[in-house]
Amino acid sequence: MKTSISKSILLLFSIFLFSNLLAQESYVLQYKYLKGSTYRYKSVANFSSTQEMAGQEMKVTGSTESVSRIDIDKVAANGDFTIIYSYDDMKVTTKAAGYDTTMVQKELIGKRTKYIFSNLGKELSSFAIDSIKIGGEAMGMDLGSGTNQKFNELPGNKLSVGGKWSVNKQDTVAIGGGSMLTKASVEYVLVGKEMKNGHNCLRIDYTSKLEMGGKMNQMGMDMFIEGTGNTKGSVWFDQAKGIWISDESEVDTDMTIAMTGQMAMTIPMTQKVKTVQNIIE
Amino acid sequence: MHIISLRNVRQSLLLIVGWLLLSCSNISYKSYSKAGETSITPALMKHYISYLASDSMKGRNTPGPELDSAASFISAEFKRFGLKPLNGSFKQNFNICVTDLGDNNVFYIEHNGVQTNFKIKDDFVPFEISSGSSCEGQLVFAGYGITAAEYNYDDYKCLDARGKIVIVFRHEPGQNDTLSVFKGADDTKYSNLKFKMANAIKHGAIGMLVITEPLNYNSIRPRGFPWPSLSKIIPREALPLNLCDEKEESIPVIHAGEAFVNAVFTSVDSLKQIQKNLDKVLENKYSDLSSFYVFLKTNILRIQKPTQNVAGLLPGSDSVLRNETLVIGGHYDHVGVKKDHKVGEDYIFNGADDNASGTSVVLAVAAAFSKMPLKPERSILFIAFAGEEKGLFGSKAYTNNPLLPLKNTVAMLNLDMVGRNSTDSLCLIGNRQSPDIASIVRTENKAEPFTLFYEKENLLGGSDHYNFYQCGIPFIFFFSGFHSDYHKVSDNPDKINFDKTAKVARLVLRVAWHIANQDKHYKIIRK
Repeated sequence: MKTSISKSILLLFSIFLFSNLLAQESYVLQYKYLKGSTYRYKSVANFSSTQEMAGQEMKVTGSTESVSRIDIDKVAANGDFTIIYSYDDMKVTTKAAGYDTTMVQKELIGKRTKYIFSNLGKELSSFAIDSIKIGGEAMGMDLGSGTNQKFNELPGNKLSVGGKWSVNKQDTVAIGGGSMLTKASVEYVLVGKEMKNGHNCLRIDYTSKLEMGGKMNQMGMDMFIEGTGNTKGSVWFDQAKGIWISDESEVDTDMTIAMTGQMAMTIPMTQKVKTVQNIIE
Repeated sequence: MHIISLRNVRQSLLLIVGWLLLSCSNISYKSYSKAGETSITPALMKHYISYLASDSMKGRNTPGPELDSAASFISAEFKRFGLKPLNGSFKQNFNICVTDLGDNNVFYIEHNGVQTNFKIKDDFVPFEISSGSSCEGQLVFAGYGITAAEYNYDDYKCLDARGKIVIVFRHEPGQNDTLSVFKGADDTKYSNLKFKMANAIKHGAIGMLVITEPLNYNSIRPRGFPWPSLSKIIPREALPLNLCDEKEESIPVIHAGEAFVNAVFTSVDSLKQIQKNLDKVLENKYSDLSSFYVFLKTNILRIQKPTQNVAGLLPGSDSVLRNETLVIGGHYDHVGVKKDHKVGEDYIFNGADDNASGTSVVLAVAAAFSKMPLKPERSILFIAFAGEEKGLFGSKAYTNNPLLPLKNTVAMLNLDMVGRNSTDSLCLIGNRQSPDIASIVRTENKAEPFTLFYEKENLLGGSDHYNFYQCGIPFIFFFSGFHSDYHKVSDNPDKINFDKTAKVARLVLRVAWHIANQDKHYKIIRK
């Protein structure tokens, strides 16, 4: 009896010690992309959008399937890296009442943009190498799946499981003769280790609140966009290699699109986008 | 030897009389042809288009003083051609409404002696279909607010909504379920809020509170209508114009959010359970909320702006057929001027092709008929519509309140953008829907042929013929195609092919003559 109690105590102690060890295991998260290497990600974004006019809703559903390509152009001594971002493939399917179409977005394929990121994934600068004429379906795609981030911002400090960090972002994008401001406050939490796509990964969950507002000019009409949104998602990060492997997210946005000029319109629009991105090579 | 019998003389005389009659009718037709068709010249088209699309018309925006000037010009021309006014005027007045949200919208509930007030924007937002009025009464849960016999579904089946304020879910049972007893994942008409409001009124409800289904949406935040007064950046000028509909009955209708759900259903999770049960048994078993008393005031403002169509009648010459009408129309409005333009920049959307060209064809054909010695047997109504660019309002106002009975309207010919692109080609829209009228156009096209093409099916709803089509009236929409100046300040008279516009007008004249002298009714295919 005495022996059994001792064994139990030992076992409990071991469990406690092991848990403690696990809890104390900490990680430094940092991107370690290699100069000259290429990473390709397959992304599938399913979206549904509802617009309302005079009490009547119009639903549009669809998906965007794309393969993006990240060529690592330069890696600085401090780990900051320069990428050339482009699409190898992009297909947008849109369905609405009496409308069902799939379009390959040829105008976007191969068009390159250069970005410079810090070694923690903060975008430092960007410029388009090739000009892109965005219109029609591509425009819708850009507003939908464009909410996906190329790199999540990582914390500079050591982090244990359960560790949290937050990032506030503000992006202004020039679009259609105007600009669109997106504010996002993202909360990250390190969930733990998980295998993903054959990689030993750290899983990081995130939630964010979005605020959007902007004014542009289309066909001589002023267009206003205002909205709010919520994102929740998870990213799987291969800490040893310093690359992200997968990202799954859900974005809900409530927007108002208004037009003045030749026509006056005020249209409420609700959009839901579920995106899954996985590294393919 | 020549022997002439009386019988032969009679036969010869009959032959001569017959020939003379035939000759006379030919002369009549030719005189119609000459006097009518020859009056339609490129110079005439240039005169009309240049006037309507001049800078002084400031783009003929609806509503606006320049559009009124254009209306007066068209009225004067109709009068000059000897057309008859209807109801004492060439102008058919109607109102366009802007719906706005005023101040002092109030929503609160009382329960067990406690009053809970809700804030506009955060807790509730009125819909634009709402009345501007107040109501108070007991609360009742009416499921999805749907009565649909074809789906054997009735949320009001065991419900007394009389004098009460109903709570309804925004959409329909099984909204995203492909196996839904409704139309699978596609929404049916029963999801339309106007339908829900009408159904609530039919069941005696005095107000309607709409809530988002918590099982289907992550957020049940109230959206209602995105009123500029509740927005940081949306300007008031973005409020849409609508055709005023005084006949439509309405009640206060708002979108209520989470605070209201928590106050009435305890929590969003409780509401999820109610929705789950409702979607499962398809019967509204949760209705009694009589311990809740609601006060709701929605301050919806409907600002009326008057405008007008211009219509003139050429009465038919046949005592019977004159009761039937052919409508020849085109919109005379365009989109006005550019705001915030730079000094020296062209800022006027003159709309020479869109649609001074079509209006000019209407005027030229009316003028041609006035010059013809014979008048058509059926009556012809020439009409210039306002508000097309804002949403086909003029033609909708006409078909809502026709000057002549729609049941006796045999066809409608619509002219919209007929002055550009290839000289010899013309697009007909309505070939599939109105095969008989299209066939007449092809017949009459032989005299002075265009290469006709038909592929613009997607433009079925793109102009004023659409409202006639919706009323089951055969139509043809004459259209010369889009171009790079479409809805730009560069749509000017100097870009118009006046020869082509005149040729279109002559074709329309022949088609109109054909239809107006034919005792026949035409097929309409509405699918």
